[in-house]
Amino acid sequence: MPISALTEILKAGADDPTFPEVTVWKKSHPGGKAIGCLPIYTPAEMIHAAGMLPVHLSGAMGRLKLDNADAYLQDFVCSVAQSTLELYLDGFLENIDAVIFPSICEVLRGVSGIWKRIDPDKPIIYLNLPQNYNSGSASNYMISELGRLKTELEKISGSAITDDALFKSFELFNKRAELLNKLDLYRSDYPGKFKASEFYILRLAGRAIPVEEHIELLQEALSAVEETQPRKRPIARIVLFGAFCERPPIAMIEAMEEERIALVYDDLFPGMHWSKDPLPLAGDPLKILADHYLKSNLHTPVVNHPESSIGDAIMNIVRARNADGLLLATAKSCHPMLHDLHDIFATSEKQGIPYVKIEFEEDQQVFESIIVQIEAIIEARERMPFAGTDRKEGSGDQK
Amino acid sequence: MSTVGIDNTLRDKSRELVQRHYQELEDNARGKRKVVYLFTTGLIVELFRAFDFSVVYPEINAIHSSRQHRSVQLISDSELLGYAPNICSYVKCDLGLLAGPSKGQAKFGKIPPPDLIVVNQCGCSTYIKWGHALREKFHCPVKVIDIPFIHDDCPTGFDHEYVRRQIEDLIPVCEEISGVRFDPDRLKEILELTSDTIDLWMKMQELGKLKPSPFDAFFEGVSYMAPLTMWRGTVEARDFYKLADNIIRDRIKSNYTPYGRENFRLLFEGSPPWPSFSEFRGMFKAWSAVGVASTYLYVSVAPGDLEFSPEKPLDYLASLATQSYYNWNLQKRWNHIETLIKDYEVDAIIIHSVRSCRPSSVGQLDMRNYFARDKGIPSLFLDSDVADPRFFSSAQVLNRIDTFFEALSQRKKINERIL
Ligand code: SF4
Ligand code: SF4
Repeated sequence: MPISALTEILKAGADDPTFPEVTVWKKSHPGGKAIGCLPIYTPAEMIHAAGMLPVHLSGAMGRLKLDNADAYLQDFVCSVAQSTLELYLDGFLENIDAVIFPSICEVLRGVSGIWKRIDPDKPIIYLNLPQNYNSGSASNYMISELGRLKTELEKISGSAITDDALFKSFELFNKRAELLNKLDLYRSDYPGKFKASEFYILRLAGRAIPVEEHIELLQEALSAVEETQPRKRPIARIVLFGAFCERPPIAMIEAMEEERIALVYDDLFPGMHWSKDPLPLAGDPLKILADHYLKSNLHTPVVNHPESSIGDAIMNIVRARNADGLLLATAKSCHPMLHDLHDIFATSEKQGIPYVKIEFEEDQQVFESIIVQIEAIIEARERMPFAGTDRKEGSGDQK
Repeated sequence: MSTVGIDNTLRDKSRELVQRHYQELEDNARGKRKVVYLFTTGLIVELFRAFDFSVVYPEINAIHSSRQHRSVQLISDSELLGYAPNICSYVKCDLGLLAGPSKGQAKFGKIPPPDLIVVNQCGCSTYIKWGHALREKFHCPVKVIDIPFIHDDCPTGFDHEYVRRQIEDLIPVCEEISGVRFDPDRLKEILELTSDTIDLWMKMQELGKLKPSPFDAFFEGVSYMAPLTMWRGTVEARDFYKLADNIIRDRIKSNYTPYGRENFRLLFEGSPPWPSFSEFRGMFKAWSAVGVASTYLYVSVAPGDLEFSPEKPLDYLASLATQSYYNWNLQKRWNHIETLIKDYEVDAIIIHSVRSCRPSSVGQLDMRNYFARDKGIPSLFLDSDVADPRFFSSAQVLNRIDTFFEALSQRKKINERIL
């Protein structure tokens, strides 16, 4: 089956606000618990090791009318917070037994308090992720937080999370991360064969299914990609950055690709493959998870490395992916991202990397203005010879 | 009940301390002492005083720029530099002042460049972005003190230990930059002053419980905050609140109340709209509505009992930072507000939601739900900004305030008739 056919099948359910995957899982796991994970990073391995289902929550991808959340959150609050709360208020998350709120920003922190008040009996677990990456005490602190999380999860599942179970989960999550990393490189190396929108759908398809099933799906996808005949060669290679927490509509990514833009890197769903390095399979599992988080070197607007600039980190990605330019897709009202724009713009300009900035909302349906802006990068590409595409595209994509 | 004439002694003394602060900064611009930039929630300025640093508070600079009606220009200067329109307006005021054409020269003084920036990230992750932006401009070291959020009733022992260790890690950094050796006894002395200052500050607020209240905890109280932040850990700060205690106690003897009479007793939640401060005040004064309590006064303190005293200086500093009010979860804050409502016999809550400040505004709508709907406390929700006056629509705010007090008057009349 070509990859487009596979992802077309998955697409219908990828943004379903009713989370049918959880219902299916619960039917086959009577008494099983599902744990909601808010963006952008939660140690889902631990939930899996507890025999529970991690469910990645991040808004409603424009599939829900916001009727109730505005009684709790002002209109200047980002849509991921609004629509995740709406999902909860409207009863779409009844199957979720507890929710983990990682400490990424003040908006989610505030939402954690509101959430708790809406139903005090529904457990929430607030996870303080250290922000002082250079501090020698960050690792110990994170281990203590992970220990607390483990205890809370054990209370919910009713059984102990053993080291053995954790290492088994690490193995599976490593496998998934390896497949995701392979697919990530594939869409960069052969964008005419495998699109970013397809990769996005494959990630979304794993939001609420057991990691074992997601692995099977990704393996199938990898074979499908290999069998896929090259389609028209893209005319510009672009790095997409800024949507790390929100989930833009699939149609938005597709609309860009319609214009023969290849999104050779994106920061969608960063928590699903947090680090390029696998989790070691021996040692103290909590320390391993702590190091995995702290040493990922992943730059996002909510992971602030005090000594390095986010602008430099992104430009390194642009160069590593032989991209023609940068597309900054910022979710409307996301403060952490808006604050970083200055550094990113300044670094792009200093390094001569073309960029455009677009703002999106998760319920956006018309993308013309976005396309018009992207054309600026395409024009720049047409004026300048480009090394990256030629090197990689020789291997299969059609001109 | 009477007003014995507006007593400006305290306000003038506070202004004098503000001027002295900026004067000393100007003197230091000639390089006498090293300069550290600090942020006010979870404030641990005492550590830096022990190294004889001169301290710049970017947020307080933004407040002064806003009160002096310079913020629109500074915000626009920072936008011209490429800062996004919807980010925190304090940040934009400050960056407009330091990185824009003003080159650090404000009406209130010349701001020296930093030798060190310490981001005490407590309740607000914008600080870290702010620190990064300042580093882009000044190329000096930026150090972070990451203060875990209190998601439960109190911080965990690990939270405390993490913060304490980060403070400890700063000692060699401060020694190296300032050239001053760390002396724990000196730090203890400074912290003793802080402890006394905070006690006096909290006691002053307690006077709002009296009926009528001898001072306005919001409109007057915020003007008395400068010594608490800018001068904390000094004799000047402690003595200011001793003076405040004397003056306010004198007012009690003469039955003084700020607006001649006290029609309504209010609790204010949130920061003031600084550029429109006087106008905003007038809208409440017109109804003789007195702020008897204000959560903004906790911005740089940790209300409640702390486990540690200055005897254990690093632990005390860590508790001040970790248990800062602005690091409390919503329910903990509301429980506290509920106690204030009872103890201060509050008639209504005024919530000022600041558009460009997510840390303070997210949760405030639900706070209104909680108090107005669930607890039956009349609550007025107003929405503008701390520094950007373009979000303050005078007519609209006035209309909402008047409508609210009309309804509150009716309610009061009805309640008075019920036996
Ligand atoms: S989109 Fe931005 S502001 Fe909203 S929850 Fe995510 S990080 Fe926070
Ligand atoms: S976001 Fe709010 S708390 Fe943070 S610096 Fe701005 S005004 Fe202060």
